[in-house]
Amino acid sequence: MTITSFSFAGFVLLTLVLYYALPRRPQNILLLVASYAFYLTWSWWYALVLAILTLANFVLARRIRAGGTPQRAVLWAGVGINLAALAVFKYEDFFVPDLLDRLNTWGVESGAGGLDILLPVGMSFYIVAVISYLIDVYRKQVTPATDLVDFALYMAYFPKLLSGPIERARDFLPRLAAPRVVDNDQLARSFTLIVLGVVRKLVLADTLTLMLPRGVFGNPNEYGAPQLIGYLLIYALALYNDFAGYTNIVRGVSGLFGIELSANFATPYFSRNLTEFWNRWHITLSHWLRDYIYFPTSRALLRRNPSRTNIPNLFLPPLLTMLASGLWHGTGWTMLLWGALHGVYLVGERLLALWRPAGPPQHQPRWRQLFAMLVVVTLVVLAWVPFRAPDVPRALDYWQGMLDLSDLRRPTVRVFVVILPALWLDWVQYRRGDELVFLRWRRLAQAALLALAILAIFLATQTDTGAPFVYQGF
Amino acid sequence: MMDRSAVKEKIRTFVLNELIRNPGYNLGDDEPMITGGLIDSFSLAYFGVFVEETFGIYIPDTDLTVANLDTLNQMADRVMQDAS
Repeated sequence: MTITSFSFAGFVLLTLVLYYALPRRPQNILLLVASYAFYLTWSWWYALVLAILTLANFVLARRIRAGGTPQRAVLWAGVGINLAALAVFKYEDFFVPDLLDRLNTWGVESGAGGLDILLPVGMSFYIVAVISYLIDVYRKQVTPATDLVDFALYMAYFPKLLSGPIERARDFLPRLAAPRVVDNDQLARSFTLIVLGVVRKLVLADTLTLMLPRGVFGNPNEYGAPQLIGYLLIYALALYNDFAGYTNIVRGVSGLFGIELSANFATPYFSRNLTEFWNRWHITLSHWLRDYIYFPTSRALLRRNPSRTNIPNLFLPPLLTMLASGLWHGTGWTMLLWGALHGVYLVGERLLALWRPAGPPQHQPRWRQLFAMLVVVTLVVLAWVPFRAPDVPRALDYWQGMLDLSDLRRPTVRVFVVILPALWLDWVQYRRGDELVFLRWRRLAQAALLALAILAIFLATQTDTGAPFVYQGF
Repeated sequence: MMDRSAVKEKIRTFVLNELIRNPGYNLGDDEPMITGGLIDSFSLAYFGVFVEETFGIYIPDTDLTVANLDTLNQMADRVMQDAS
């Protein structure tokens, strides 16, 4: 059941009716049952894996705080179990065939092959969330959950199950226990998020994806430089609107139940430096990486040598963090290349910062801010090539093709019909620093925009692309 | 018992010299440094180690957040919270 389907809308409606018919305590049980029912529409196997990991982590967290066994040993066992589960489901097809190839080249024959196990959708998201829970329990940042229903709901809550946001237990569990207020303001916010999300996904992302030739990243040599540049821009906007659209929808849906989910995007393509970009793009994952990889690595290195200019202090934390991000996203060398590129970008930015004093970007002249945005967006968009390319050689071909001025075929100008509204939407939000700026518009303008959105959604759905959400693949 | 104003001045000197790298900058006590774009949130790792070494106080990684440590006053308050 995809979240832009009518069946999902019906599922949410039915759950809402039952939810508001129940008193407070059974509401969480209903949400848990609904979450597992939703997951079962994908696969009973996925639900079983989730249930086992939920029970294991519930027990492990309590063991970390219990006396007797060394806490650190239980923590590492817990982190190990979760990473091993992820490795089995997500990475074995990446590492095992590669390992077998190497063994073969060394003359070691092996009859083993890849396990061909399908990655349970959403697993990458709930695994990192629960690892942060175990670490926070160990650090005494959060008390271990005593209520299995609430903890299981933290793991399985259906609006965030497939692709996040990656919530921290110490933020999310109190929300499950807090009174839920769904007043007119909350309803307005939720419906606005849902409409924005559907527009981003169905009108913008899916239409832009339709404009991408199917094999452009697989056969870049068949296209001219302007085409490759144009299609890369289209991909960048499609990817962003796809994931931002998903997040808007699930946050809106969750708001209808009175449970807030964290924002994941804040007009990232208007960032003036790479650090700002990572505070605006997939925010919950970026902050997870910062808190559980970047900060511990940085602090460990700084304790050994507190100098800012020490090479390991400058290079290692950003590189390790972004390589981990690449590894989280995917199982190929292309994702590692993407992560490494962003690591290098961040290192470059830190090196530059050593030579010039910092100052608030908003105090800089407008032209300089625009130039910085252009540089950032160029670097980010260039890095999407390995993110999307099937392998590294073809990513290199794509970059090379963008510089080949012997073929100047252009993409159709029709793409601007979609690119311009996509940019406009972000620009309006960016200027006011408010994703729900439309709620401050006059009623007439709101009604006109809503009518336009509904018309656009209707027109867009006449062509069923059936495109799944990109981040469900992670 | 540490004096709050002395703590704040030590933090100010560290922030101007090491994080902003502009000792002449006129930094206000309540000026948002991270949300204002003066420093990035990754710089908070340096702040965490500085607090450990200067005041002997450990701030957990998960407390090194923009919401907790955006201004000089917030930084000083966080140090004083553990010092008291």
